[in-house]
Amino acid sequence: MIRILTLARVVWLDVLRRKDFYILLILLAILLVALLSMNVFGLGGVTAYVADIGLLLSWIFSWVLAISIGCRLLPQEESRGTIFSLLAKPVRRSELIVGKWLGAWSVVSVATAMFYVLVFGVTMLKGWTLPIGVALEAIVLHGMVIAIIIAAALMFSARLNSDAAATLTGALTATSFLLVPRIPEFVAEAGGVRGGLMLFLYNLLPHFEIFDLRMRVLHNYGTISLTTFLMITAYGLLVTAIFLALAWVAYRSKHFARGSLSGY
Amino acid sequence: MSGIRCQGSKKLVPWMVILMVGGAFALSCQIQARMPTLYRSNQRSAGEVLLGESRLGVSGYFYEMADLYFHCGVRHEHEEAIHGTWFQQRLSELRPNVHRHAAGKASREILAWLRLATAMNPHNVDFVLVAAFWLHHEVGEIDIAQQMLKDAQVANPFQYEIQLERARLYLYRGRVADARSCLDAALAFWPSHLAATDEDARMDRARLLLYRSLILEVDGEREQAIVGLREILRMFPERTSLLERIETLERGDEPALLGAAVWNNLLQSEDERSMLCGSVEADEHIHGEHCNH
Repeated sequence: MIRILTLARVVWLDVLRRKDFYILLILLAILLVALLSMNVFGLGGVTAYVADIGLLLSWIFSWVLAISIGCRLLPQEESRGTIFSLLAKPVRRSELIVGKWLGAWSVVSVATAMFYVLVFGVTMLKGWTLPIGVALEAIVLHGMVIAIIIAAALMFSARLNSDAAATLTGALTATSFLLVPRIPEFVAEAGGVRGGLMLFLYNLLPHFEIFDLRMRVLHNYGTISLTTFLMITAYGLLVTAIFLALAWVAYRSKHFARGSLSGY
Repeated sequence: MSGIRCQGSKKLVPWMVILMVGGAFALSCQIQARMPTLYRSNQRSAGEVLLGESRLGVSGYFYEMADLYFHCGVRHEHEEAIHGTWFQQRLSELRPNVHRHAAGKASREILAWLRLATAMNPHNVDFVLVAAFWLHHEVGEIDIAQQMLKDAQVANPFQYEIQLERARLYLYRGRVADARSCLDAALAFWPSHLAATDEDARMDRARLLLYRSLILEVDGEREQAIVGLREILRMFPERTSLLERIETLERGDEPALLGAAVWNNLLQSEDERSMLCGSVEADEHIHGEHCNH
């Protein structure tokens, strides 16, 4: 466990050094200020649109951050050659995978929580009322999505270079966000072989739509039941575990040779 | 020796880059300062510069968000081929699906989305008309609605729909002369971008003529009012109730004051129709794609 935590700490240091998160936070702040400065026909007290767009941007920025961090962790070790010194230590490859995942997940989750704090803080200053309970649920479930994205990124980057892994992770997660929730609708129009293929994808790909509580937060519909919350969390953990297991399977027998890693 | 010369030229590179960037900046400032006002007033909006043509898609998204906020976050139901999957069950627990409409402060939030939609695409007249409707009916700001319509007319110079809406707002305020000039302008612009045979355009022309006839009647220009009503009858012969009205006007029986009462009823019934939910169920129902708001 100590080894996993040490690896996670190294990820934190690396991310903080690169300053990706600060840039996104500043960008979000600028966009929120620009939105707040918009004149809505001279009407006061109209703030929900700022919270809505702010939360949408938080989802997009956390997605970008999760992919960019998750996909470079393993290839970076290989391109720098530090993988040799790392594997020379008593660290198992499974621990390496889990340590990297834990570090990336925790740092992106904290960054996302800060995005939420910024969005909620700014809109509350303008008079918006925050439903705290459902907002906390939304942050936790968003954290589960980040866990899945980073696990998928690690799975792809276990065998591919960072660019290819980022592309595939981006395509997979974008499909899960945008296409998968609408498959039941498309199947009605498609039918036949196409419909069957879509159903296969519906059951195969992760479902991110059940983690999205933005509408409940924005329209103040109150918290979801504990049973539902736990079921969704368990689903998130299961998908994350599957991706991490696949990452480990891909990485455990990977052979590293000096001189062949410059392409990473 | 050549190595020293090479190092010296390398040191010069950053200075040259700074000099060139500085020079380009100074030149651009000079050019901008000397530009005639004519070109500067023709600047594109920030949204246009940032997003290009994709702003049209963004505008559509904002309009959909306005609709979503109108229904308090309840999405339109779509026909689905599979039902009752584990994911759909969880979604039904997460997403509210009881049909209700935004009211009070929540209804003002819709205007923010409409403002964004019109800012992104000022040439979509439907967005402008919906925003004007909401400003009038939910916020009670007729003057702001009128100003927004004036701005929209600048962006869409010959769209009769904007003049029609402006006329209706003036009628609500009792500014009959202003309404009349807007209706005259709308009739001059008609059918704008639509074909003269288009059903919506024909219906709108009939509305324009009806409002104008009522105003003419009140102003004592009975002959002109009758001409307008006859034109509606030519377009829609099934509207036989107009025959009665024409006969009454020809006889001179109708008191002129009744025209104002008729257009007030007309304004209200039109607006009530705009607010009605197309489906006939009671207050709470699952919102479907055939729910025609």
